Amino acid sequence: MYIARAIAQQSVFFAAVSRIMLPPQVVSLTPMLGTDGNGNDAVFFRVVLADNSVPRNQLLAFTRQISASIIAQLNPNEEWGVWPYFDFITQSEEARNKQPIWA
Amino acid sequence: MGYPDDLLQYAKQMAEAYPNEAHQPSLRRALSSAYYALFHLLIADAVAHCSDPRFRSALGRLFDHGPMKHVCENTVERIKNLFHPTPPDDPERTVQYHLHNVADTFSQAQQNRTDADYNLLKEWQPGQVSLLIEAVEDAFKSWQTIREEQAAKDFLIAMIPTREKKQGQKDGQKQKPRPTLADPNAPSP
Repeated sequence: MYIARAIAQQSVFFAAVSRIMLPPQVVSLTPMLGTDGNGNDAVFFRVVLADNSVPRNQLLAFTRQISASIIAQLNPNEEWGVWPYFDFITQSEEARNKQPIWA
Repeated sequence: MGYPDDLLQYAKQMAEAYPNEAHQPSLRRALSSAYYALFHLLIADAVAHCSDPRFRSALGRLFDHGPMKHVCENTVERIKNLFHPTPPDDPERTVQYHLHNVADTFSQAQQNRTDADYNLLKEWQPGQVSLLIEAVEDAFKSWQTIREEQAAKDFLIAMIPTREKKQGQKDGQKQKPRPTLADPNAPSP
């Protein structure tokens, strides 16, 4: 039975993620291992950005640079057997997500 | 304005419907519509060479989400190192850059659509969704730039399902060399 290395060696994988160098606009990078909609092994990166740290009209290009940088430093598919997905969110929206639903 | 453009426009309207509120039904509809906009954009171009509208409709129904995403992932893997860290600097690399943008956005958008439609534990925020819709809109522009290029046509042809490709994908899933615990290059724990 095939097990992706990222899943078999999760602590090593998470340590590798923690070593990724990112610009200061990135407040946090949180990886979550799982399977995607097609049932393939995947890593879902939650990237939290500091509020207003990037002009809105440059945000898409910036997030692409961050995704490319993470892929270049980690090589998730070839080295770890997981397909990367990225979810960018600002600090304030992330905080709103964490509020209880009745707040 | 064709159906894909209408869908994208609808996605933008849904994403902006409640700018100060994380209105989940609207945000989920926005993500789902944005993905389907890109899905139908590619299919529309793939079947455009067929003159009979009934044939076009029938051919379009052959395309499937999973195999299309598989082609996108292969495309992304094949050309991902072409642009990092340097941006494209010649016409051929520019075509590949836009193709990468379309393929990568399709792959990400399909997963977002799956989450939006089925994963009710995940809560979406307006700014977050707006950025994802913008990425699909940008992929539309990339596709308009390259749709007449041979690389773009090859990309669409690869998405056309055939018995051989289906069998190849099954075999590939079984035999694809991927890193395992037994990999000699694996880092020690």
